Amino acid sequence: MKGAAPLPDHLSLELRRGAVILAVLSQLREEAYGYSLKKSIADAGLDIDEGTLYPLLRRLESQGCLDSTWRVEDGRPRRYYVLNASGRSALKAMAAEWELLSKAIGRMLK
Amino acid sequence: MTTHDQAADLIERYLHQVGENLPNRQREDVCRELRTLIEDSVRDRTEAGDVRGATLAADVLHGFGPPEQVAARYAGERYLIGPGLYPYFIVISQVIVIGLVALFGVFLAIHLFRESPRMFSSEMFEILWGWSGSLVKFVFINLGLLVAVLAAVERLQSGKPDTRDDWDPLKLPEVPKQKDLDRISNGSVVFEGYLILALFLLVNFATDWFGVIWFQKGELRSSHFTDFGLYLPLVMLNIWWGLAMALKIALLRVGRWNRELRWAEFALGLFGAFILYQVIEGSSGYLLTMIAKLILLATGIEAAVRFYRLCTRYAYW
Repeated sequence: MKGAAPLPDHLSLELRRGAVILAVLSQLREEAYGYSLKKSIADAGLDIDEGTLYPLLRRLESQGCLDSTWRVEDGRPRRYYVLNASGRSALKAMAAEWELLSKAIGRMLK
Repeated sequence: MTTHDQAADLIERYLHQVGENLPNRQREDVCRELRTLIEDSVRDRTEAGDVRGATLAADVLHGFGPPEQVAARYAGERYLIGPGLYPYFIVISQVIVIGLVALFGVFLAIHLFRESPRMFSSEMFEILWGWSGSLVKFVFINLGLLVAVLAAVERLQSGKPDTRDDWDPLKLPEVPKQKDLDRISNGSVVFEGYLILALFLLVNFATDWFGVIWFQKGELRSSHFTDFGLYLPLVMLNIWWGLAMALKIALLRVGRWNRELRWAEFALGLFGAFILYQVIEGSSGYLLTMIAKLILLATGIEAAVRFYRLCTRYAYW
């Protein structure tokens, strides 16, 4: 928005919270480990700091949306995450909600 | 130490600090994953041409954030007293603080009346200073006990499944025509639990605090209860308090009285009456024995009413 003041940290955090979860779930339709996930999200234009992203993966796993497994590739052990059935349906529902929100907020901001 | 060693040492120190702030069951697993993530990040930037060693590692770690914050995010939100119990904490704290201030005010007035110090004299300030210190000590001890009780309740309730989505408005019970005797007030139950714990601690660890104060020929005198020949069967009392506390916790978990809990309450009442009988048998003082006999009589009547209600299901279910 033209001439908009920088967004205070706490508001930015509130605004991004749900979006970050959606971004992570969307990128885990294919298996990925923490660092590769961070890069793929950054490549798509969303920067999430490590201190937020990595604990979020654990939380989503404990909530039953993700499965994880340790594997050694290129001589390095890594924990790989991927959506499970529950995560896929959560992603579908969140994506639909996002569409609704995005349209509604778009209309209100006009 | 080479720059590589310095970087490795820095990462090691960071992981140690994160681990220190994590629960035991998470520590090894989280630190193991965190190590691979940090090393991936350092390696990627080194391969991109950044060869600053320890400085690079420090940059990467800075991106992860302070160890305490990272650990807190992994551990999730933990409350000593959560939002659900916080209102009870506020209300009961106010009762405790106001009650203690009032009690101390009365006793201080009696003490000043008896000592009659000169107004604004050093003796008067000494008395006020000493009593204020005691009041602050008592307030903190009692608030500490309250926090301990509520923290235990919080921990017990944290495992309860969230049923907010399962409830059906159509299944809401009708407004009872008479008072719902099975309904509980969480605040009252928590307060009773706090009193049980306070009594347990006082009787076990501070019996010298119990006594009476009276005037005799213009003199303020005090005596401990034990001076009046009071017998306290401590083992049985502790068992009773333990069972009473378990009943309160069960009541909080279930959310209202049911048949089983009512029977447990009845059995606890009988056990209490038996303990009271032991107190009467073992005590030698006339006054205290009379008081205990009156309490036993009241307990007996209450138990009979409870038994009648349990047998006839009157007003309970």
